[in-house]
Amino acid sequence: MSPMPDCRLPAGGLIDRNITLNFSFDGIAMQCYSGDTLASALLANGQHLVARSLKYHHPRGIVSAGLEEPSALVTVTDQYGSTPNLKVTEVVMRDGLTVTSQNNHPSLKRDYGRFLKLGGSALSAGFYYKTFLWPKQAWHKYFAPIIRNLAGQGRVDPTPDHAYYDKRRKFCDVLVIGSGPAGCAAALTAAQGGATTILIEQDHILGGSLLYTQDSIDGLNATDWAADTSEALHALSNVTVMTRTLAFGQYDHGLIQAIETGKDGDINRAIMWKIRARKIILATGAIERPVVFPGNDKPGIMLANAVCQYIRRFAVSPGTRAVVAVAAEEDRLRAIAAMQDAGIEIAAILSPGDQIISATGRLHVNAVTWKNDKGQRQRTKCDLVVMSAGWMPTAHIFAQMGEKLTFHAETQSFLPSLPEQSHHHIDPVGGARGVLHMDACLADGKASAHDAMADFNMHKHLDLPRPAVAPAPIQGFERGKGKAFIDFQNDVTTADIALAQREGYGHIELTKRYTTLGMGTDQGKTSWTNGLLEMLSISDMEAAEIGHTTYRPPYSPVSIGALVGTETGQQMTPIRHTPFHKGFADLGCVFQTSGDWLYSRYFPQPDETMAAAIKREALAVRNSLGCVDMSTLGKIDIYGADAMLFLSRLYCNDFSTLKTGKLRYVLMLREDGYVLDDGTISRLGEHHFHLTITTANAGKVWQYLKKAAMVDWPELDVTLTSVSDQWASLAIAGPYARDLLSALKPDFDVSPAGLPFASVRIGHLDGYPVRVFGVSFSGELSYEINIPSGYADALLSMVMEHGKAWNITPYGLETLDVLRIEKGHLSIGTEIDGRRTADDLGLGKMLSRKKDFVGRALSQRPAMIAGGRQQLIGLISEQDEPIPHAAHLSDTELDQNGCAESLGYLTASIYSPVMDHYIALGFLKNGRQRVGDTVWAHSPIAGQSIRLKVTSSCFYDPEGGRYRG
Amino acid sequence: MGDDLDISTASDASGLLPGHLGLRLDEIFLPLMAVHDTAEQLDKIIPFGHVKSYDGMLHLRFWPDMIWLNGLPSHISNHAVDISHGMAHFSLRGVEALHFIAHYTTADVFDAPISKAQAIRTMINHYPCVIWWGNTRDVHVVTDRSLAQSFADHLRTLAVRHDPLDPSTLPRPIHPDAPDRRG
Repeated sequence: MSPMPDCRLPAGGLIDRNITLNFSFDGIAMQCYSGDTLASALLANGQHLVARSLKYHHPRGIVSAGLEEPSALVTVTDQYGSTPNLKVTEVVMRDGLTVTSQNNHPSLKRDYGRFLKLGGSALSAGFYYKTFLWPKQAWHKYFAPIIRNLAGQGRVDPTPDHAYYDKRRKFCDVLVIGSGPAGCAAALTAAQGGATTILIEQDHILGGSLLYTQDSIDGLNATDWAADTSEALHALSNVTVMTRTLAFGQYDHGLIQAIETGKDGDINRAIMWKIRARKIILATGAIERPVVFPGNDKPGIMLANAVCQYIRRFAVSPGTRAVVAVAAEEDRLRAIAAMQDAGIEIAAILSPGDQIISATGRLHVNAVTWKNDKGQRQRTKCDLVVMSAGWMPTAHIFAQMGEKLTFHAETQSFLPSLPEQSHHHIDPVGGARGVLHMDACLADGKASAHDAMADFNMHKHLDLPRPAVAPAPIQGFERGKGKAFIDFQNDVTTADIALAQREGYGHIELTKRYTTLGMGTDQGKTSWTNGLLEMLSISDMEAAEIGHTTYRPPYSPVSIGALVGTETGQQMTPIRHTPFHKGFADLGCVFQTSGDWLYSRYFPQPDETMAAAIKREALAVRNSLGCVDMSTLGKIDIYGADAMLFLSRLYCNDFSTLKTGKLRYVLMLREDGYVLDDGTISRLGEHHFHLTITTANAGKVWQYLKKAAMVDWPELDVTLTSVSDQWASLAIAGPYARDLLSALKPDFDVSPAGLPFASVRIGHLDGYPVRVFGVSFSGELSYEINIPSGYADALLSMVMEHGKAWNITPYGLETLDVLRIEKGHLSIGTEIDGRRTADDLGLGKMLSRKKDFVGRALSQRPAMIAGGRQQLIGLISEQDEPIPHAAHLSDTELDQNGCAESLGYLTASIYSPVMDHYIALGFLKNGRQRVGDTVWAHSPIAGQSIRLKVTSSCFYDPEGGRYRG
Repeated sequence: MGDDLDISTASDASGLLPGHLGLRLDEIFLPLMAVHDTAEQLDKIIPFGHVKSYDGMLHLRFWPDMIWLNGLPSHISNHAVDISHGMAHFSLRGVEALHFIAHYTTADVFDAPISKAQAIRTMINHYPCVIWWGNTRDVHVVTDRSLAQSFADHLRTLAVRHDPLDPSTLPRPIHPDAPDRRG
């Protein structure tokens, strides 16, 4: 293999030639220097062919030097794994990187996909809407797999990512995004004025365009001025400088989100920063616009500004013999000077107005053909084409909050629209608003910073004029016929734009989606304005009519890991533990998440299945004694002279006669009359109540009660205190529950007369302060023992120790559900699902006729009280076979189309240990009138249809003798 | 309350957090009573958004109509609700304690009104918290008891992600030769 040509210039550049870095590209070992990007490293090694385009698999090279790079996407592998679709221009070189090209087989040079060009216009925009239609069966079998193999760019690394990421916040007065001349001037001015300032820069060093321009500032060359400014900013204590930090999105109220990429040796691979600023100065510069001509996508055709960067900043020569097609004179002269300093021969300089016929070459540009202003056809050989049609402000972050950019004919670009008389929360400066000359950028940044200080009413602010925007070149380049690319990444050509207009997709949103213009990872940074100009040339519309599509974050792709931060695995969301968690874990509990909570699910014995454990636990409760954690219930302490009135307005049943020491089951309706929640109200004193709320609705009902007390009825004398976590709650249930309670050394009467069902006692158990509620969800004699959470371990120990006499069995959510279904008790989310009235649930008699309450009026709407509503019923399987979950109920079998009229559905389906039978709860039209009937239960998901007999919803102890003890 | 009874902690927070910052996190039981009154009456005791110690008793006011007290003064006859067991109190100590927390609070703890009050009710990532401090090296955090273990685990996860000399940590040391350029 011949040695790689060395395109590194012998001197110059902001690279450290003392530090050599090794990397590989497609298996070929290469070297570069510290300070290189992957783009400059590849160019220094003479590697121009870097990728294959998405659709046509055209050979592609490096077009730009920044985040706007449309073509050169690669996969980079380091110690963390592989990351696909990285732009070579955004990768700061480190030692040991393995770089592979994408979208080619078997190799970049000999890619089979290159034969797709033989498809010609058959592969034009939207071809997939018109093809692959026949034969129908072939789609899944042949077409889809082939397209999947050909489509897309890089491949995701499936191995787990063990790198550290984090998400953090910062606050400041002034946030400056970008560290070119405008950004540096703004940051320095704001900081010197006393504002807390954050300067973020996506590159690893400050300076932006100052790093490769030959201009002078204050007698210093621009690069030295940038270094001096960087040092000054680092020294100021009210300034935070963040390099390697990409601002990718603007959000409400001055929030900017940014990703900081870690250096070698940093603990975090990336940190996502949420920065809230009183003022944002957007100094993100401008992006150069490519020239559109046939063959403009070949390797070796580069933007003029990029060529200057590679020569001046990275000391890399991108070619040996160049054709210059730069519209603006200043930019043209700058590029020519840089190339001459690098020893690049200038083969031809095209003038604005010339017609570029084509660029040719197979894997690299080798010649350009054009017609000059006299119509003379000319051709020259070359290995580098330097192009520029003008500049587009990088105002994407400005537009992300819905602000419009307006097309200005003067600048031939979209500019941010700012109201003249007011100061905006975000202020684009310099290139980001069309100001291009360096002195003007410096002045613009300084003026913006002073405007910010004026907004803050800080002294030492000046009212400085804002420089004018720079006009675009009067004339661009004409082009010949042939395939001319507008969007390099998505292979969108001028013909595609024209096709979209002809086929009626002329609206900008339709053109975008039909052609995929601007839909790649580069989001149209180098293509969008050219696309608009192409539409203008074809249609009769004005630029203002065409407009632009919606700008959305991220400005440039960001890693999922950075967006996730620490929120993965056990850290994904906060987890709530009950006070009994550790004690239950020691008893072998299997836990499950239930909302925020980690809830006890069941307690298997060795080699026991879940079904067997549930059966054992349920029978233990029915026949002897069990205990279950009820701590997740919401609990509210309510006090005040108007506490009873307050509660009476919120709950639909009458409890005005509730005495101290008693409790009542209560039902809460929404304003529209549907059932919202159920719970219990216990009266602890004349003006003192304890309210329980279901676990699922704890937060919602708490907020609802607070709003009622503070906003709706502030005149009421009532205070609310959440005590949900204050009290641990352990329910002991079973025929021996009272015996156990007696054994716990209560200092109050626990006899049937002393502590009957639906009562509450405050006292002590063996010296521990408790509240004991006589209430049952299981249907057995049951007491919910509330104890301050810090004593939960002690209570559990006492209960388990004394409970041994009756073989006490801890049980969890699974068994609790079985017991309550046997009893026909309601559960949130299943029976109480927000669509049921009290009467639907069999609780219609609870609605008081003596008082007004929330939901009363609308619960009387005709449809709410009409006959024919679905009502809660029980069902048992006629053949004692398992009942499929969530089956629909019908009077008929399924017809030949698999359909039947649905009259209701199941809400719960279990095997009942105590009945030794399969049972279910559900809703059935006129259900209560149909007890004794037989219906069909159809489950298309399970593929089952079985016969069920309608029963009362209470299967077990309908008289209630067991829970009353 | 049974004074002789052992109170279990809600978390296993006891000792140094992992990582380079050398922070120490301990859960310490803090008796707390919630007392309600009108905003006007409570304003006479302590302004909204402040933490103060009166007569050796901590007063925390982060709600218009409620105050938390570390005990129950005899002169208060309002209905008081014991919430000692419902909240978990953490002590976070170390040189970077407040600056570490400040990376994750929704509110800016160094903003003038808050840094003056040295107290705030805010979120630390997804955890609702009340935070107060006497100095930046000794920070108190109170959160729901049921979240305590998860919160402690979360702080451990965060602490291990900090480099020993994190250049973006606040405040930055002032360069000895830096000119005074403040306005």
